[in-house]
Amino acid sequence: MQTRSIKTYTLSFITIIVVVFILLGWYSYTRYEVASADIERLNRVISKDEITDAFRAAQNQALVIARSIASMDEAKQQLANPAFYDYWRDNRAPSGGVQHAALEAVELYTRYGAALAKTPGRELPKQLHVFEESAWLQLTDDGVRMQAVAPFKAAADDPDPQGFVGVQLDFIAMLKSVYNTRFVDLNTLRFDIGKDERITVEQAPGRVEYELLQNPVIDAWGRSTIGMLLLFGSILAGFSFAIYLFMAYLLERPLTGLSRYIDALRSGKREQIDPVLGGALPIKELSKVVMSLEEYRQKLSAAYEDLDQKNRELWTLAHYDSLTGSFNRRAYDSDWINILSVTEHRRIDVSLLIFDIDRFKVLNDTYGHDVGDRILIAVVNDIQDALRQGDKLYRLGGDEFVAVLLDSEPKFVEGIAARCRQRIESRNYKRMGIGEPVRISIGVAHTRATDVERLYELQREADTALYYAKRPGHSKIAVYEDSMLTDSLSLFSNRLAESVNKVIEDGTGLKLYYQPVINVQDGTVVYYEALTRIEDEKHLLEPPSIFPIVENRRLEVEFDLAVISSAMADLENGVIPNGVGIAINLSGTSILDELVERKLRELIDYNSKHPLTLEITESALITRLHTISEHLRHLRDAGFSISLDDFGSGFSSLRNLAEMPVDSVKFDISLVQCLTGEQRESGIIRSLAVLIAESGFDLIAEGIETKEQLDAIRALKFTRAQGFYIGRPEREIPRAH
Amino acid sequence: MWLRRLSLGALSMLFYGISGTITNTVSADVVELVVQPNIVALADYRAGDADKPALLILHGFLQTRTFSTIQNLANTLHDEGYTVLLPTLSLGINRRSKSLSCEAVHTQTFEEDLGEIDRWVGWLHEKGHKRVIGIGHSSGSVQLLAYATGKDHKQTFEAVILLSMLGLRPGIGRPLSYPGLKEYSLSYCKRYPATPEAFEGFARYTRAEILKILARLKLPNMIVQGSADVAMGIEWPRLMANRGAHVVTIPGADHFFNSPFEFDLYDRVIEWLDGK
Repeated sequence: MQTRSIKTYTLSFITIIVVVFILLGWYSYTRYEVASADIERLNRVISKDEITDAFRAAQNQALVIARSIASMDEAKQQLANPAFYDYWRDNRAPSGGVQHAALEAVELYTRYGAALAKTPGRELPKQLHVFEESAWLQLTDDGVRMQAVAPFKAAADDPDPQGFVGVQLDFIAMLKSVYNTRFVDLNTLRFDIGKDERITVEQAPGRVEYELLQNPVIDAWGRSTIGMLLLFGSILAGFSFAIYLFMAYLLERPLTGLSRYIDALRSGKREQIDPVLGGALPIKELSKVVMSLEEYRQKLSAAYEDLDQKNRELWTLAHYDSLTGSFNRRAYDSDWINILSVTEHRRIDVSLLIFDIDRFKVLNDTYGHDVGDRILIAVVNDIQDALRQGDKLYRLGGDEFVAVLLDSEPKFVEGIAARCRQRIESRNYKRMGIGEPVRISIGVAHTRATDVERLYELQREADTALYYAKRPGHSKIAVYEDSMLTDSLSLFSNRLAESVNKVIEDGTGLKLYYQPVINVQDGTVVYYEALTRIEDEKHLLEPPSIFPIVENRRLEVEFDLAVISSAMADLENGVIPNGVGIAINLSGTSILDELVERKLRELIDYNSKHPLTLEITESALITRLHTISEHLRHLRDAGFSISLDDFGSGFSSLRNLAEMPVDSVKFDISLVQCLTGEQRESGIIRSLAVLIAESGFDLIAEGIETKEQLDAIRALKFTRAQGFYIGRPEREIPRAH
Repeated sequence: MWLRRLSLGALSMLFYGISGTITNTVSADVVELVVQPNIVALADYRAGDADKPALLILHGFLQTRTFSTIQNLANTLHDEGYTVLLPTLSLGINRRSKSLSCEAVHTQTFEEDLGEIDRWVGWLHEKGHKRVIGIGHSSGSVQLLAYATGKDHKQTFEAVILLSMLGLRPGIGRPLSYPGLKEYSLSYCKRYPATPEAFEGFARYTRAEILKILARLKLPNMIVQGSADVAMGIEWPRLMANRGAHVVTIPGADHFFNSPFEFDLYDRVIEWLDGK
């Protein structure tokens, strides 16, 4: 069944009432017309008698007039002496007797019927043909006229008239004056009288046609009927309108409000109840429905609010980092899409700042995760304090944070970056139990472009800048320049990633370059340190390009396995002369890895011809000192010599050094360079070298680039040396060695 | 005597008022007299005491014998035993019984009226009344005066009583489109179509002419005037008296001696007649 609104039903109901009324009204009117026709037929019958009576009355009146003139002494005078008859007839006769407006002409006739005048007035005859009182109708050019004749008598009983009076009257005017008809319309009389024909009054009713007067009763009845219909119609219209208003008030208005309210609920609007429904409703059941609906709405609203709260919490959880309170990676991705849409086709400054805590992994491993977490919170607080109100800070993962600054000049952004760094580095971390400074590197990229692709590049550019900021010896804040792109290819280009992947997959492109490490006393090569290079079609990638991506992608184990395999291949191929050892650099992760350990045990077979040394950096070892130390002992037991690489670049104490299961300590190049520097520094380092050497460690100096440096370490307790002065890393070892 | 007249007059008025003309037709004989060829004049005749003179009472201008002033006077005088004859001048109309309208065609001359008076006087003589006294009212007085002072008549009166005597005021005739007829004004008639001959006879009897004729009147006479009848001026009774007439003025009475002054009139007339 098709549903319609209450208004439609109301209007349909009213329409039906109106149609029924119109039909009843039409039926009543037709009955009225039938009755009118019946009454008109009856009136026409009655009108026959009326017209007869009217004609007789007119005749009587005409005769009265004629008699009154006949009774005038003046008329008798004229009959006796007609010398001035014309004057009398024209002036006196019409006003002498019974005066009547219909009287048109008077004529006197002798007793023989001859008119006294030669030319009788109007159509009166010159000669009478009847000699008694009589009247007749005659058709003239001006219409029907009645002519009447009355005799003169000297006395009432005089049988012989002395003459006659003839009068002519306008018959219709006569009729109107003497007879007030109720049925016959005297204005419509149409006589059937021939020319020169005279008819008597008795004949006249049969020779006349006429229209009936509008019957006042019928008219009144008609008016009453029509008035009644109009009255009923008006009452019905008013009643219908009242019904409409009543229905509209009772049903349509609340139902419409209800419908509107439900529509609002359906569309998700959960505002207060519709004003129409807010008041008291006249229908109890409807009021109950509204109350139930309102109750449902309130429950629904509560459920929605609870859901909204949950959504907000979920959104918060989804978009905030639970540890630091900054926005998270999801929020960053979402906001970045918004930024792209906002900045599209607009020239607006967009700056991207990428923050990375230096050596956070070391700090985390050294002081524990709790301290690491507190460092992260402190860093976030410092960055947020330095940012403007409204600038968002996102934690992308680990110790990496990003801030996006809109509509800011590059200089201003650099100022913010500097402020961030200053705040972080000025914080007192001793409260957290950290005895060393916490530093942060910031990569900044800026653009003012409407091109979306350019914005996408912005993230890569900021990464590149960060990479530059983290490089040793560089400012901790780096603003991206295009020149960085070439240098950073090693880190971020797909080609580099592809090269690393190929190395990991099957060792393709990995080339070990060997730099000699000599005995400082006799200059003989003790062993060669295998330094990794990756060759592709155009470039030769070196460790500064290789290891960031390896570390970044946590590929240390796979990469070290490839290096070990490559070294084994070189040993197998006799790249290293017999009796000369080989040193391989391993990451801390690899030391702990079972596969690496297994691979190293395969390598041990070469130990007899080529004493094997494993180099591990101070920073790698210090992060998980105890765990790694345990593995290193096992490797020492297996035959490997352990060398602590880059000593002096980290923050390991001498106490830690004593606990480390290492055979030799390789001074970092920065320490070696200091040996020839200021007296105080070189003295400390010399003392340190002596101290370490006297503790039983072989001391190795790297970065020897001059004879002075070599002489200097030789004078100390250094037993071995390495550097460009001694020999550059080469793919092929000269046989002279 | 005055009371007796009053009572008789009142009874007569009461009776007349109730019976109207029927009284006349019952109590009076209607007398017909051919006054012109084809013209019969009518009169009321009531015989009285033989020893008293017969009274010919003539109506006024265009009136008939049924005019109330003379009719009531006639009734009263007849009750006093006088024979009364009230003729209606025919004015050229056969058996005239109604007053004639001013606007009717007037063709009868003044002399023809006097001729009819003469015939009626002669008729009284033939009836055996040797003594005839004429009583006229208004223009009837003028006509009786003219008749009494005229010389062309066969009969004569013994005396005349002239009530409400007047002089006629003729106007200038306006020609009509009907040959032989003019429209005049005469007496109270503003429009009076008449032949010049018919008009001239009346027009001759102006105020001055009346006074002149009165001076010639030799018969015993009495002129009764109402003091309120001032159409001829308040000096009119004195002027007439100066001409030798016996003028009696009834204080307050108008031209028609309407009630209550009619009784004064009756008393004066009867008194005068009884004195004869």
